[in-house]
Amino acid sequence: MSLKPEESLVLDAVRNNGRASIRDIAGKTGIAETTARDILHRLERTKVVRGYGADINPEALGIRTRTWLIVSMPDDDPERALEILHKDLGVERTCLLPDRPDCIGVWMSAASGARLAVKMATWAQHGLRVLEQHPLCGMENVGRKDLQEEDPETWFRLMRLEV
Amino acid sequence: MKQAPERALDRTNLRILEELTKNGRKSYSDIAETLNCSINTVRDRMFAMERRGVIRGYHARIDEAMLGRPLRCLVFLEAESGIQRPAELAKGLQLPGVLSAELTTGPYALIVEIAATDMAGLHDLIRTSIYPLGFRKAKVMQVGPPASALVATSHPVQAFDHGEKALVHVGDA
Repeated sequence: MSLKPEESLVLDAVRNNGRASIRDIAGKTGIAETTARDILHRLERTKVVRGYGADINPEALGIRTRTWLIVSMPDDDPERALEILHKDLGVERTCLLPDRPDCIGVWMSAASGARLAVKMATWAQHGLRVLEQHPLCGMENVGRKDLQEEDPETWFRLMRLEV
Repeated sequence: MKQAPERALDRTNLRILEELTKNGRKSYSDIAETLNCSINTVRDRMFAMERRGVIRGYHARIDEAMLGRPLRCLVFLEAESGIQRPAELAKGLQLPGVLSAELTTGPYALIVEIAATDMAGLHDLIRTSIYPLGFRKAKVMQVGPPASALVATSHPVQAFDHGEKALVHVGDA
């Protein structure tokens, strides 16, 4: 579906500011408040906007390392291997890789690099081999004492909700 | 005397984060009702978490495929030599279809997730809007639907245009 110009403006207003009030949206776009409200409701009703989330700082919840992985699947019982992978709370999300049908992509978080290594060793026992590893290093606040909460389980739970 | 850092995230804070993850637009009063606490508590806790950088912002979850961008790719970008701060460059990536941009180490500076109309549209975006920011050489990897779909059912929903090849392969194996 193609959006009308006013719909695009409202969508852009909430894209990176999901809590923008109707008044904020109207002020930013120059659209009347009642019209802005109607447009936003229409975008939600038609599922162009599927919902809203919060951008939570993983470090505040004790996450010290995040990484993107390419993991090869075992030839025997790949479904069982996938089950094991998805039971791992540190797995934020996965994707199939159409160009590499024997592999999947994995966004992974862990409380430490050592814990990540242990997890990958466990996967290897089930035939899941990590072929590529790209550390995601947006962790600019490591070392900030006031952000160290050591509660990675909450992060893992929130990531499941986000997906 | 040096004070111990104040613990920011007690149980109430964590429950607020959970409510906001489920619905980032949920009102203070609705969160207060769910948590059985006062509106002021919710508002104060949220402001404090925003100020401290625990909550970095809020976003809308947008169905890019409905907007004519069904192709989803990860684009691995190298920064031009001499570029010292790819994080600064990443700020220029607020472009239509760019879903996320994460700094990485190793041969690439950034991994960017992009939704595009098709491969030609993606390469056009990279050439005209991303390279001029100070990046060179991109590796593109197409992203299919979540692999978890294969666990949930033996006949996964074929909702994504570009994942059939992989779905068939893993399902058949």
